[in-house]
Amino acid sequence: MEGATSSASSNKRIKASALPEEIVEEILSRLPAKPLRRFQCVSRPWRDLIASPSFRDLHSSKLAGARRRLFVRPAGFCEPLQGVRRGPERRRPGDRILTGWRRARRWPVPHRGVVRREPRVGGPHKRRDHLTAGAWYSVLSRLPARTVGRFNQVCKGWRAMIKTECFVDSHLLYHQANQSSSSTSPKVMFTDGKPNSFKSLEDLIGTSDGAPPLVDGSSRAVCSKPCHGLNGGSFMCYDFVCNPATDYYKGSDECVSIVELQGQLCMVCSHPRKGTLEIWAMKDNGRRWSMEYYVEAGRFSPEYSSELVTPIAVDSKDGRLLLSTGKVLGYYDPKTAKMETVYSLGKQIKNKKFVPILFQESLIDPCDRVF
Amino acid sequence: MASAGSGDEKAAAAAMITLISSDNEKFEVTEATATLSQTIRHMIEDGCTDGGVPLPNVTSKILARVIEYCKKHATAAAGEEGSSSSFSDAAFLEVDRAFLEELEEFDDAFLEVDRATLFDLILAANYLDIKGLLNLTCQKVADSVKGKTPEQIREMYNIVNDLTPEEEAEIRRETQWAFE
Repeated sequence: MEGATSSASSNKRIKASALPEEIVEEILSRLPAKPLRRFQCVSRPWRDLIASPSFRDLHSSKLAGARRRLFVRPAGFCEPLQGVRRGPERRRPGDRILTGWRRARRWPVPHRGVVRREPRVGGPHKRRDHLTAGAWYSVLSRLPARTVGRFNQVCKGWRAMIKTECFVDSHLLYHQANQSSSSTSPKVMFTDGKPNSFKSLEDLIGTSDGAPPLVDGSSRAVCSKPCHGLNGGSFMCYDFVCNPATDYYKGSDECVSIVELQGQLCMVCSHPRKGTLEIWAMKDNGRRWSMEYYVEAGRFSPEYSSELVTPIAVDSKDGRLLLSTGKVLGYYDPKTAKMETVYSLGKQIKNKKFVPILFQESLIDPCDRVF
Repeated sequence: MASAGSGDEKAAAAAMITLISSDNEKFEVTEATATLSQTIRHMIEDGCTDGGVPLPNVTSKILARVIEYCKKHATAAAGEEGSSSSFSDAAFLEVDRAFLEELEEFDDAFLEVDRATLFDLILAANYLDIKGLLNLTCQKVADSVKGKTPEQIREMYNIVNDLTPEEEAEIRRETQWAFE
């Protein structure tokens, strides 16, 4: 009986050892995250392979060119992510879904890749320092080497971070990627030429409510309260070119933040009282603003009317807008003014929220945390 | 062997390379076809292809398939080079598109093989360093394992589960979402 169809049985019984490890690696690197996670418990060599940093690098480089999937990680799953390796390629305006985030409060900024947190980075620090480490990571990797060297002495956590291999990598990558596009490296200076103290830079970024988006090679931060002679609502980049806000910024009632949508710098004004959300896109390098979206969330979809609502991305195919409030995630269709919820924490979960981040073109929730 | 003299006038246009499989079968291919393999390209550059290139890791059955692939894709590469100068020409683009579609169909049909052959193709592509073929075959395997459970993978590829039950339980607990 057995072996009656020899071709079929040979087809079934292929030894894993038939393929060398680098081929197995090659094959696995083409899989999406979910099956990969599952296959960690196939065997010990597979587990070690999938967990290795070199495999992660290979996988993320494959992901950049392959078909991309929208992928929401459910609440309750927690993986330490630290952020941030900016790949040498720059994003083109025509790409399908683009990142942008807001109120990813104190959350690291994965611009182009994800590096597992090394346990000692920010290690002994509690809450504040610990949580901002990721954001600082991305800020520091944009600074010139000399400045970074000086900041070595700021605190233990920073010194540890600056010394890590992945930081050195992302620093190098960022500067290589930007060398050709801009001859000047970002300066830690205000336009009046005074050297900037670290404290004040922190104030400035702190007001941006999380991670500054990267548009046209500049990181942008919104300064929502007057400081250092800048008016509330002014836009800045790290070399401190100051773009004025729109005239549409009316004042304290609005909650303003900036995001990157479809490669454009956008200002998001949400009026919690009115329950509306306006998204203005910057045109002509800051000289003109145009309103791209006006979402009447309060009227049609009350669950999206919180001031925490954040545009994550625009689907360039059908123009739908992906909105997140930390409790629900859904598409807003501007043609029908309807919301389609794709993920929700549910009503019974009161004290948690999720933080969705677009990583390349996959959507991940790095961590849900108790607020 | 007898063909050595008769091909003289053609030799300049298309130099032929002889590939010898592990079971001593000889295959004559054009240089353009052979150089899709980086391994063979380097051998040609080093000038050590006289008297044939022995490929002790590849059987005649697999080598025939690999050559089939290389022939198809060598013409594709030649076509691309030819048309790149007049890239804006709409007619050329039209031809290109049709050709690419045909190539895709060819690739799909090419991959209709049993798993053992597929593995042999991967090994051959790896040994001969043919990027396109390696990509194609690896992707095929990746697609076929995508929806499987770890148990199915172990069964399919005869992998021994050497994780302790505790370790496996821990992985499952950590990545429960991946199993849903």
